[in-house]
Amino acid sequence: MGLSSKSVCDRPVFTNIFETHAESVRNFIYYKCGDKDQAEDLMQEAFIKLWQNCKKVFFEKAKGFLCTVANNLFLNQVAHNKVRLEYSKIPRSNKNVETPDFVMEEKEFMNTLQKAIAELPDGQREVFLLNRIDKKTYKEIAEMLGISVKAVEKRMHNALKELRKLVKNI
Amino acid sequence: MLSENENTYLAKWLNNELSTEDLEELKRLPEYEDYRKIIEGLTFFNPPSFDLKESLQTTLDKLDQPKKGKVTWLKPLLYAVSAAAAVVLIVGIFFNTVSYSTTIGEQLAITLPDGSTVDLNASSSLTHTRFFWSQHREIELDGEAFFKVTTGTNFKVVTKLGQVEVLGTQFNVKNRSNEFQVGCYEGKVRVSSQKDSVQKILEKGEGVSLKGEKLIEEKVITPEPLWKKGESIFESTPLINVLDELERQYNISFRRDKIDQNQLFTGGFRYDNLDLALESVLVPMGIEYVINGTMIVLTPK
Repeated sequence: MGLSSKSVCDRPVFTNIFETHAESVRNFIYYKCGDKDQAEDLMQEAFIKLWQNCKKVFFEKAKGFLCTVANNLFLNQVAHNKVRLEYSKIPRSNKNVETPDFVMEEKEFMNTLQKAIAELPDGQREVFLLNRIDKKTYKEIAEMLGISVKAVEKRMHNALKELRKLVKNI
Repeated sequence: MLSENENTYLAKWLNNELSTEDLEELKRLPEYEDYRKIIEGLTFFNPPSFDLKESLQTTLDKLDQPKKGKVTWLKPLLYAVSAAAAVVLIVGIFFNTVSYSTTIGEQLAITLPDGSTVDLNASSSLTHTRFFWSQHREIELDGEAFFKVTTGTNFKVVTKLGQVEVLGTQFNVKNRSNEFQVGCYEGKVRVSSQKDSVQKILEKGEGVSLKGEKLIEEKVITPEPLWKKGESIFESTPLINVLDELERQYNISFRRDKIDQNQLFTGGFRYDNLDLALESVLVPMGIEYVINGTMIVLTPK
């Protein structure tokens, strides 16, 4: 396997890694803990660990390293909030008739969906949101979490089934 | 065919990997509309906002204060440990003695670290080292005390005028300004004066007192020193010693310039009644006294 000669210890390379991966690592932790500040802190801490270990980590492995470290840091913390995602108003340009009832129903559904996401098991939620919101491929998610693509697919499948159940119940 | 065993057809659907037939089959499922609605709803969710520039800047700032966290964490701990060690040392050096003392008319029962007990008579003090004392049992005594010693290494009582080594168990040591008296109530003790190397081994019922520079043998009749019962008895003792004892047991002082303090007194007094005590000592000696507060003026008849 040909690894590039790019060194993580170079400041520009490090900055580049940060620009590419910081947000997804932050979101990855956010989907676990539901606390934006905590996620931001853990992400930064993971990058600091990467810098401290820059000689040992290949450029290509940096992202995996970051995710593993961030995940471990997360596991070391006890506090754990419910994940609450913000959503934007659904544009309805293709519908000419927009009754107040319909708007109410829409809003209700989004609230329900938000609660349902919070109720998902952690493992399913992180995979599902990374795919749906961060548009990560199954392969990328598998690398981030250190699990197989098959396992990611299973979690996706189960997450959607679970969500439907939760939405019906709430 | 959508196989439930495989359990991933929804994942495949979301990834556009389903074959045309499977897709048609999925769309016929009653749940399909729910799935579609959920997936559509999810497209309106946003990840929490992220300010890349600011985040990068704070991270780089943190990098430039290298390992601050680790170093500062250990230092206070190191200081704390050093401070604690210093305190222990200072305590060890300056507080390596334990002292007990009694004031006028007071008696005190003490239990030593090895379980031995000491009864301390009035106006006396006793000192021993705090650490490792049980390996080297030595006690400094100024005054009068009764010892009940448990078995163990040599037990030694050191006073200004003489010292007592325990070979047995119970004995009384009296060391007042110019008086040194030891009585043995059980077992054996070895007595030696500080001035010369005269030694005497006392057995039960024997006692010695230092007269001049000699150890004079005495008899111990009572099973316990009388002071423990609240009285003092003297036999041919210079009056000065008797008056001193009175001053130790009662909060009084004598004006003695008009009387002869070297006459010998035989008799005793109790510690619980001043008038009676004064009478029982001074009347037989033919001394008149006037009480003036705590000052008592003595004149010969």
